[in-house]
Amino acid sequence: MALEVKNLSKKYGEKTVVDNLSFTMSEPGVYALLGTNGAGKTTSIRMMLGMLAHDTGEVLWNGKPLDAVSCNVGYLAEERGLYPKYSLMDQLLYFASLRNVSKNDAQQRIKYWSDRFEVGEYIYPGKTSKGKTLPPKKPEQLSKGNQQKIQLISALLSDPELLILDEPLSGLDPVNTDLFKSVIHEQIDKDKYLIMSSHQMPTIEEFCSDITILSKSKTVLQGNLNEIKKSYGRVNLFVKCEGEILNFAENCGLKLVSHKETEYQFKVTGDDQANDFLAEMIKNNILIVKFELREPSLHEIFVEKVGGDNE
Amino acid sequence: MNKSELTGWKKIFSFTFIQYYRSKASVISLIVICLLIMLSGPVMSLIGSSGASKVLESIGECKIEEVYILNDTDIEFDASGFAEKNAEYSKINYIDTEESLDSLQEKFKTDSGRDLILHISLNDEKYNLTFYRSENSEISTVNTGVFSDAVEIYFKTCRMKHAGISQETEEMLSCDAESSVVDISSISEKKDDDFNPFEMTSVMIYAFVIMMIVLVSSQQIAASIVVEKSSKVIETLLLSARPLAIIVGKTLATMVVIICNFVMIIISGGISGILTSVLMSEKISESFSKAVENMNNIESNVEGINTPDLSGMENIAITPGRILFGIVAVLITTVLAYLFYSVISSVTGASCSSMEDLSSASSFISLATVLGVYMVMGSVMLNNDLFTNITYFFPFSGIYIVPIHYIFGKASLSDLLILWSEVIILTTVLFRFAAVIYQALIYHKGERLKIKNIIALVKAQKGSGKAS
Repeated sequence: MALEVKNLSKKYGEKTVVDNLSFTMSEPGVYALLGTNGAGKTTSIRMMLGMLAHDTGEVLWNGKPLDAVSCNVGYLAEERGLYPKYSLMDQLLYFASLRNVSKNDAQQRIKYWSDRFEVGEYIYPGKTSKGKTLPPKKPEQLSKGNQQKIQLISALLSDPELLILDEPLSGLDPVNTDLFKSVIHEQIDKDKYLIMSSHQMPTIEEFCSDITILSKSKTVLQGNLNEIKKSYGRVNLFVKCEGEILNFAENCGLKLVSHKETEYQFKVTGDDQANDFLAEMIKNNILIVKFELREPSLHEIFVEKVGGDNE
Repeated sequence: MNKSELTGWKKIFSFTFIQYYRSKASVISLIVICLLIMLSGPVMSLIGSSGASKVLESIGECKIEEVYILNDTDIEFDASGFAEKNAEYSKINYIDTEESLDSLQEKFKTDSGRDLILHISLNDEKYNLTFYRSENSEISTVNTGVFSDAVEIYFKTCRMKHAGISQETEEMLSCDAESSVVDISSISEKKDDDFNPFEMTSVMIYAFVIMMIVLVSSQQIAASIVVEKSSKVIETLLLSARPLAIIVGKTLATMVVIICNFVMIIISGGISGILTSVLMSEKISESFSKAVENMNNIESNVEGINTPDLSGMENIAITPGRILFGIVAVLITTVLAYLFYSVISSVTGASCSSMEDLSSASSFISLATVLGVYMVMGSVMLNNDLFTNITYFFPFSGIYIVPIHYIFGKASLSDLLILWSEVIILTTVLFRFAAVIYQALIYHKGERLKIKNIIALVKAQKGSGKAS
């Protein structure tokens, strides 16, 4: 199975909002669409799902145009919404039926996910201490986080092959963030295809194998995250030691990024420069607690790629 | 319409329909309305039946026992002849008296309350028939009035007899003469059925019924279309259904809800009518039948009573087949008209992004509906062939007039078929238009766009790319 997005473009009048976006997901996993606000991530997702007309390009799933028939898709939209007055059970069954999920399967899945997300009390009638039945809460009475959970349940009800999550973790507290992350991990373990859009770079680094960074509608960086990082080289040097080392660093041509007590961060040009610096410290009997040479973080790459464009 | 564009409309239809009746507020308000309608008739009849019985009894029963006739003229009032001609007054004892009016009046102050004095006099070249009754008279004003009318008519006969005029001569003299001016050139164009009040009434009643249904339902239909956008559920729905399926499913569901509510209200009205008639019949049937009997007698004896003018019906070439097909035509046109205006409501809803926008957007429906009714009113009043034809072929007005005119033989079958075709084509196009607007404005936020902006947006979207 594979998802192919080819030359997707969209204009509003004279303004281009997505310019020739192309990428392929040939293996299950998580693909990240990154970009600043207004870069075109959500528009790209809406075009992929057929909610918005596109000017050029095509989206294929196993070689056929992606639609509700060719692919079982789940979608957590950026704009969260539920019917404010209808019961959550009715809404979830309705969304499931539109995805052609049988009522029995839908009920079982609602039970599973409501337990998993700890929202059963909002979906099923409760009981008072006197045994009186209490109606479940209406969506309008739910917190934003709980509404988000219900919507993720709705996206998962069809047990989708392709799950598209637009900013899935925005607005969640740390506990619920971990809960969402565990569910995403579970979907990855089930060999599902996930497309995720997010501003939270550590989360993307945690899940994603491949990325596309959009800036002002254009693709500015694309590929496998590890390879992108490797292409930058190991240029971040983190040192923790006892003794004065700034003179040695200067002699070796290192650039100091930050310094706090015994911890230092330098920019190096490559492995050789780092090795020279390490040899110099050993030669001068500096007690080294930590010496770590790392690739740049996604955050740094992102800022480097789109920072200039947004200035 | 492409089948895939309609995929899921039945699920949307059933969800929308069921959710309406799951809403406690909707169900409670419907029950309250039905109960009010169901109980208002019986309660009102219970409250008002005692008074009504009294009124009917007073109409149905003649309580006059004696009539003292004091005749100051030289015209003889033949009481036996009067009694003979008015059977309901045959049991009254008529007494010719020579007593003075003052003494009779004095006597009536203490006498029985079931007697009358009839004083016939001539004053200022005018005959006066004056009836006196006692202060505590049991004879109602209605009874006295009816009796005095009968006496007045008979007194006219007495006057004719006194003057030696026969009944034939009297009829000839009293026959009305009417003058009119006719333009000779217009005689050939004059038709027998040019103006028909019965037909006009039928058209207006039908037009107002349709107008009421449209005005009541349009806001509800438009609101049902907006709810997905305002609650931001739309993206979840669009994952599985196309805008056309959403529009069709929601519009039809809301229409069916309104029809069901309407039927329930009609049934409540029917139950109310049955309960009321049962209660009323038990309480006042006897006095009512008396009243009817007496009213029949009155009608047969009183000249100049207006009976309903059904002259219009005489000119109508209505065959049983035409009536039967006419009823079917009215039903089909009603369904099409309701569908047509519902789709316009859907277009209105599709052009709004929030409930707040709806009130200003709905004014178009009201204007279109009222315009149609005014055109129909103009057509039936002007009776101009050209204007009537325009009214037939303009769908906003044609739906109000063509089926009724078909029954009356004014509109032809082809007029009816042309109207249906127009409405079906327009409804289909409008469904598509609503879906296009709906899709074009899914992500629109802010002020409601004007129609020219919406059309420009739709053109831009169509021109700039294909739907994925």
